[in-house]
Amino acid sequence: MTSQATRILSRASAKRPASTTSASPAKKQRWVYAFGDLPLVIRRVGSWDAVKGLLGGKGANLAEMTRLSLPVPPGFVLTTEACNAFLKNGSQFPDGMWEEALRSLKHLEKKTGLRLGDPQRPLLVSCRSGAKFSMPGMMDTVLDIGLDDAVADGLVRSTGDERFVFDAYRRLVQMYGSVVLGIPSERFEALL
Amino acid sequence: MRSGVASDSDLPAGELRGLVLSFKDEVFRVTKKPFPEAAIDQLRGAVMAVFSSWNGKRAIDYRNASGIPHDLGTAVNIVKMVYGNLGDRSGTGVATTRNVTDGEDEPEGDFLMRAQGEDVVSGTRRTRPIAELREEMPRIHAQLVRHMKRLEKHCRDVQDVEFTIENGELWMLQTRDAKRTARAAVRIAVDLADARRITRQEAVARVTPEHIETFLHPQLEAKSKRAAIDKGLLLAKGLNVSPGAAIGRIAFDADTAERMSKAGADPVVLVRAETRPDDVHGMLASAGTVTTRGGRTSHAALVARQFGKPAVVGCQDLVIDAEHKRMQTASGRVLCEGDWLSLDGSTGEVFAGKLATFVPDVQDPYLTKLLSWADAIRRLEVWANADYGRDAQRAREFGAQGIGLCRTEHMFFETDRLPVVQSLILAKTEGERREALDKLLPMQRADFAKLFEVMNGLPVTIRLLDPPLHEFLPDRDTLAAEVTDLRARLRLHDGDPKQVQATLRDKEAMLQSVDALREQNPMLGRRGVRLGIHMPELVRMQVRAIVEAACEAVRKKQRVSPKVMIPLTAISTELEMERAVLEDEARLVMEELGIRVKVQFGTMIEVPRAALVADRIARHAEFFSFGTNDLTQTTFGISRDDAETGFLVEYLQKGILKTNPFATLDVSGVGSLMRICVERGRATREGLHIGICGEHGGDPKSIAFCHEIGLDYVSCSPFRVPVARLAAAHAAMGGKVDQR
Ligand SMILES: Nc1ncnc2c1ncn2[C@@H]1O[C@H](COP(=O)(O)OP(=O)(O)OP(=O)(O)O)[C@@H](O)[C@H]1O
Ligand SMILES: [Mg+2]
Repeated sequence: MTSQATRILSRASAKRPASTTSASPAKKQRWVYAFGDLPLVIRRVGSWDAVKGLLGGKGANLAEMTRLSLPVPPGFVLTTEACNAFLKNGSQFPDGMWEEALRSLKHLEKKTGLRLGDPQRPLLVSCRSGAKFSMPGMMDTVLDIGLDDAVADGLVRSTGDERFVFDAYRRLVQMYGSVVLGIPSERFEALL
Repeated sequence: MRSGVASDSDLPAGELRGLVLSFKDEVFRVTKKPFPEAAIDQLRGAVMAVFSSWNGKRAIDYRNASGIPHDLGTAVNIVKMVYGNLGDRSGTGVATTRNVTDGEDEPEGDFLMRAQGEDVVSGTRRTRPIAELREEMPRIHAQLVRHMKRLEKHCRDVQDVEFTIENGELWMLQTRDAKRTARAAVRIAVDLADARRITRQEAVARVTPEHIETFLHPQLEAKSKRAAIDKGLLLAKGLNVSPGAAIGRIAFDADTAERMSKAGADPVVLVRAETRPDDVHGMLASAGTVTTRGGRTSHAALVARQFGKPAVVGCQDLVIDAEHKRMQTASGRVLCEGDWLSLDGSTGEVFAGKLATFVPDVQDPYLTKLLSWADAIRRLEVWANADYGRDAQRAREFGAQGIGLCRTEHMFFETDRLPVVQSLILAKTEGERREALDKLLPMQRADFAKLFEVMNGLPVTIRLLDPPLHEFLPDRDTLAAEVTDLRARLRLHDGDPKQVQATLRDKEAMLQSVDALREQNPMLGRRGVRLGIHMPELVRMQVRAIVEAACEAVRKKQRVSPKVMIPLTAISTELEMERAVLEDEARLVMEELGIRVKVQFGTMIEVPRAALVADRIARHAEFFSFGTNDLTQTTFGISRDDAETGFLVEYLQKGILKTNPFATLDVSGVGSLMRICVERGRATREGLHIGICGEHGGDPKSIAFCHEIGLDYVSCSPFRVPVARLAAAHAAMGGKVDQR
């Protein structure tokens, strides 16, 4: 579905509220939005196409599903602008981005009643790529972030499912190892 | 895999615990640092890695291949984990809101209990069809279907969703517009419009010319594909650069491919690291081509598209060992020369073995309906090029509204006619010439009568004889060799001297005529209208055949709309003169038969001069038809045959040309001439009817241009008529699609 004729079909133009204001240059740069912030994002950037440009297709649709009250686990999006700034900056987060992310994380913790790294009530998160146009499987995703030995033990106590916990844990080490540390997946598979 | 378990998730807890330890050791071994224990460090590392993956090689290759800009960047989604691998009432799956293979309105998908993330798509565990979820967890199934319906309705298109069930609770993890086969794309668009979810215009806009094209090529059967995937026969996925399925025995070099295809009954698939100009003969001899390197503009991709051969390029997972005539896949499977291979040029998949194929039905009811909606939108008429009744019949079935080009020379080449045509060319006297023409007349008349009958009143454009006459005579070198041979036989008293003598005389006469007709540059020589000026009897005969057939049709109460088209006009006076002769003949016939029919006389526009003096030419022409193949050759000063087998690919690869101007109209050059021609022609003759009858008439981008400059019709090969109908509708919408 990439014909020119199709691309111009923005479903937003028919269904979504049109923007009243567009981003003014004076407005402070924001790098992070929660799924629940969709109305704000639409107000800021205008069209659905621009929403997808900012939050990526996956993020925009997760936010949209949240707005439709479908059961979506809560979360937040670091924008494509943040990515571009990061890449331009020699792999440094742009000013203020990480602090914004931590604030969003706090909100998430409050909302879920869980905490990242807390063995008693641990929050685990996934970290998922998502560009404006779907590029299936081309970029990376890490699941089960937030596990360490103490958290694992805590989770075994609270769920009573040791197999689940260590299944998640070894996935994290493998995924983190290959995605973040660049260790070929095969080296882990060889250990299986 | 250890302990004989089907997959890692089936490992007992104790072993999983051990696995974590050995994984961490591995991390330490490779990075000399411990696995980061602090959760926040993990998060930061992951975010950085995901940002960076935008510039990973995989992602860059993918964007290059699919034309996605490189400056968009990726967002990162931080999402609370829900646990599909927690206990027995958890699971994970993917589903589409409809069947994306055939478009049926029935959700489709796979799931696994006690699983997480990629398990479903990675193929490590055997997944279960979504229908089984209904039995396993009926409430969850009902919820999922409800959410999917809602999403489809809201997003106004078929969705592809990812979900996870944690302890009997459903979570939606992703939704996006689903990828689908061409057949599904057409049916889904029609069904959504019928259900008033989208407008008919949108339905038409959502189907691409490429979708329609796949209805014209053989495809791999979905069932056979699925079975092959289950059996692990999917060897690689590359770029889908030239549509259609190809099945054949593997050859690893062009010469072998050619030899195998000549020798054996079995088709061949050429597999190369990459192709170069000296591989072209092998590609042509093969049913399809696979390469392991290269992108959408690689040599293999360009050549395959140019010749309409299926191809998959850039299959990085295949490693070719040309020396030993074998290749290895990522999983270590080895295939040798002569082994069967199946490729799908529409999806980029390459399979081991011989898969089943089918040719989708162009008469598919959904396609028929969609095209009828396209017809209501477009302004351009779509005509077809057809030389025989059977082509015309097919063209009409595909929806052609007229014949834009009937090439009469094809009729002259038929075996029973060629000798008559030759004796016409060789005739020494007026009497001999008459005799040959009298023989040809009824044959041509019958040809045209058939066309008129099939087209039943729709316009039929007949082009008078175009090629240089030498094309109807034997090859000069062969003839000369034969003459030398016969002379030697005569000297050596080999065979019956009388017979040899007679044959020699014939051959010598033929050779003489061939020499007399010989031109330095036949394609720019005495052909087209010049032929008719030179040999008026010939074109008079053709017009007589046309008008007699038309009158006969009228007598039989059929409707007819004949159009006589004069080729290669460059000078208004030559057209004026030729037309006077032809009209005179037409008048004679009508007087003889006492029947009147309306016959139009027009010209092709195939040389730059004709376009530039269109105002004067239009005085003598009732219609124009662009012959953009010749017009492109004469505008560029490039011979198509030499270009396409020679320097064209180099020009494309060096970026001197962006596209092959013989496949897609060169808008800035040839297009300017066309624009000028339309303007000047209509300045003389208001509303002058103008079309195009080159191959460009079936190319979507060229069709959009024809729409833009105000042509009345495009004429293309019958098989491309459905594509042209859709493309003409897209052109008419011009990017503005009514959504209500
Ligand atoms: N928060 C989460 N909880 C449970 N599972 C998750 C979570 N986030 C992601 N997953 C699972 O991980 C899988 C992969 O994630 P993701 O969708 O980000 O990447 P992908 O499907 O490989 O690629 P694409 O970018 O094309 O969607 C998904 O199938 C999803 O089921
Ligand atoms: Mg996904």
